[in-house]
Order: sequence, then C-alpha cells, then structure tokens
Amino acid sequence: MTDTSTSLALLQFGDSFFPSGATSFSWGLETLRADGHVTGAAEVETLIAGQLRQRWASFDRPALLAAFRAGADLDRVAEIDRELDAATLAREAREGGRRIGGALLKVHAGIGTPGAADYRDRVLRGDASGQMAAVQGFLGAATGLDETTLCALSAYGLAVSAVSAALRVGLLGHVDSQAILVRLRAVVDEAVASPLPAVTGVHAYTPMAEIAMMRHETGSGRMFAN
Amino acid sequence: MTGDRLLPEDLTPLDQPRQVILAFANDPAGRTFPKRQRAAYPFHIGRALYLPGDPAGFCTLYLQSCSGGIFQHDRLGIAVRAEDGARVHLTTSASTVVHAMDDGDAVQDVLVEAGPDSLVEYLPDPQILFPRSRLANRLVVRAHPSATVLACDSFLPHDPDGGASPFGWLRSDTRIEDETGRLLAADRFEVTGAASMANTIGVQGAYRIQATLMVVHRRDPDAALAALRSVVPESGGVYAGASLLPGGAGAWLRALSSDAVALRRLVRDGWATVREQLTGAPPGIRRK
Repeated sequence: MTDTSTSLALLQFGDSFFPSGATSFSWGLETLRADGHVTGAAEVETLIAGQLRQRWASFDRPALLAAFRAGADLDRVAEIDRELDAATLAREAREGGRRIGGALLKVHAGIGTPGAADYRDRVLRGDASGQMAAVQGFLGAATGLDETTLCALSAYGLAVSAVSAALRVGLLGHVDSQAILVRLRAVVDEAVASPLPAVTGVHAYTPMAEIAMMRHETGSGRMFAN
Repeated sequence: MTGDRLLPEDLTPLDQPRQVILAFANDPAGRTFPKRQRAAYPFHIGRALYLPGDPAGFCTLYLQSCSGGIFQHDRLGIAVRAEDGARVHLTTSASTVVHAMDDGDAVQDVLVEAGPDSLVEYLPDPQILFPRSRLANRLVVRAHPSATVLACDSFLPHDPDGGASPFGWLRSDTRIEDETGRLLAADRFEVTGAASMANTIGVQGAYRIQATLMVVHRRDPDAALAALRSVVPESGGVYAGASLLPGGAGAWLRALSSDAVALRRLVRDGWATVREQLTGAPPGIRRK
C-alpha cells in the first residue's frame, strides 16, 4: 500500500463515521462517574492513561499483534480469540469486545476485506467469539496496515471512545477532550515500547474499572453498554 | 498424618515436586477424609476437623507454614485433589507475610482438582506484601462439570517500618479448566507496588487491598452469581462487583478497599452465602 493509501485507510477505520459501534461503550466510566470516583477532566485523563498502561499494552496489544501476524491463518486467529475471551472476566467487557468485533466483521465482510466473511461465519456458528483485538488484528493485516499503524489505530480507538463517553456524560468539554487525546499520545508511545507478552500470557491490572463494569450490569440509568 | 507415604502417581504429574499433596475421598458413610497426605517443609497440615455447624462429614484442614512466611527463592507447590463427592474446606491459620527480597523472587503454585460432585473451598488468608517483595502466584482449578470450587485470593501492602515503601511486584495467574484441562477462564494480572499505590482511577484508585472470590460452579453459574451479588455492598468503604465467568465456569467477585476487616467480612459473607445455597446451612465458625 502507498503511504497515502495507508493514511487513508487509517483515517477511514479510525473515524467515528466508521460503524464499529465503539461509541456505545464506556468501559466502566459511566459507573465510575455514578459512584463518584470520576468527577472531572483530570480524572478522566488518569483513567484512560491507566487503561492504556495497565490493560491495552499487555492485554489488547499482544493479541492484536499476534492476530496481525497470523494474517490469513484463521485457525490461529480463532485460538487467539479464544484466549482473549477466556481472559476477559467481567461479562460486559467480554460482551463489549464481542460486539465491536462482530460489528467490524460485518462491515469488512460487506466491503470485501479478505477473510472477514469466513471469520464472521465462524462467529455466527459459535465457533469463535469475535473479540475486538483478535478481529482488528487480522483485519489490519488483510487491509494492508503495518504493525505501528495498527497499534496506533487500536490505542486511539480505546482513548477516543472513553473521551467521547466522558463528553457525553458531561465530564468534559470539546477542547478538553482534544487536549487529553494530544497528551495521551505520549502514554501510547510508552505503551507500544513496553514488553510484549505471549498471547497465552496476556495480563491486565485494572480492577477498579473491572468492578465498575460488573456493577454496571445491575446499575440504573444506563446510557452505555458497559 | 504427615509424611511421604503418598504415591505421587495418584495425582496429576507436576512440573516440580510439591511440598503439599493432598487427596480427599469419602468413606462408606459419606465422611470426607484425607486419603493421601504429604507435607514437606515449610508446610504443616493440621489434623482433619469436622466442625460444629458444618454438614456431617464435611472436612476442614488448616495449612500452616513453619517458616514465618514466603521468602526470596521460595518455590512453593500445593496440589489438592477431591475425589467423588468429597467436601473439604482448606484454609490457612493466619495471613501469609511475603518478606522483603534483596535478590530473586518467590513462586507459589497451587493445583486444585475437583472430581464429580465434590465441593472444595480453598480459602487462604490474605498475603501481606512487605516492601521489595516479589511474588508470582499461580492457581489452576481443574473442575468436573458437577463439582464446585471456591477459591479466594487477597493481598495488601504493609511496611513494617511504618513508612509507605511499596512491594516490588505481584503476579497472579488463575486458570479455571474443565476436567480435561481445557481453559474456561483466566484471571491474569501483574502489578508493581508503585502502580498499586499510585492512586490511579480505574486501577486501584485510593484503595490499598484487593480480594477476589471465584466460584467455579458449572452446573448453575447464575445461581452462583445471585449468591455473590447478594453480598455486594452498594456503597461504603468497599468497592465491589460480581459477574459471570467466561466459559460457563461460574461466577466471581472482586473487591477493593483500604479496610482489611471489611474486605475479609465480604469474602466470608460471599463464601457463607454460596455454602448455604449448596448445603442448606452457612458454615460453622472457624477459629484463627
């Protein structure tokens, strides 16, 4: 792919206009706010930085890159997918990952991305979970992205969906949101340079966000799916 | 009964020799007893107890450490097997101090195998992480579809000098498998003392202590979840939630707090509620 073509693919897949469904998820922020743990912009930024360092770097990223490297080997992608699903213990986090993965597969099957329709069939048959990072990884390879671009797309997707949720629940203004995204670039740089665990050793330490998502299952006033 | 009379081939082959190997079975009257028992240094196993308030034949065993805690270079292994219908509660007599380490780290590796219709409660007291301690915990629960296993872990940092020096790191790898070893659910985390105490919202926030209670109950995960949810506080000094485990494995509860007593009470309440659901009565009092 030419540089312009890569840039265009990144713009398209990273755009909120791309129908991944990611804007329906707050990843615990909605409940952390309701429980009084997040009250303003500084806490939103700390929360997202913590998720990038303590979860995305050592959990999503290894699966993303392993699936990217698996490429067209969909059996290998399914193994990675299974590992990721088993290691996502909070139900709404697990279902959120599946829903975004499913939405990505549906769009990419529709636009003819190689492997997307085949893998979607596996998910619809119940032979695969369709977790977001596994799906995003192999689709990244199929659409000609490189590893650096794919990591940027994935980390940005996490950050922007959290910032967008914070904006919608009134914790931030538009300028604050953009300023946070600029500052988080340094955190993503640090995260992509951190040691990469094997897929069978993916780990995350975000218990407070995890608890928030578990509390969300029975919470009232739910705007988001987790 | 302590000694080397165990036939190791009775149990799943292990990567390394384990200091503790226990196998429980029921006698013809339905009373659970330690059929095989081995305990090498630093462990000591108390005699089998049958406590008032517990169902008839329900076995309780205390696992004690003679060494005063976990030290650098320790490689500790525990294997527990419950055969058909066995019902056993395993606990420690006190919290486990994980001492400061100038060199290397420590590993504790626990395997719990639960046979058909068995009930295993593996509920050790918290691990107290001293400054510069480095510990890797590994727990594998291998459960028959009709078995129930409760397993808890909790940790808290403590600086005996009264300061706030952080522990080095804690790694935790809990695997829940079916009877063939297929992975159903995995809880894997690594945290440094500095990250644990950094007041990061979404990580530990201002809370200092974490506790987790897993209820492997493949027969009826929703019932296990209902039991755990019934003890989750809405507000107060304990931040907790409960959810269904992946793979239809059961349910789990995680909690954060800075109040060790409140957190211990929550884990106890969760255990008692599940026990009552399974046996019709809450557990008897265990003195420690």
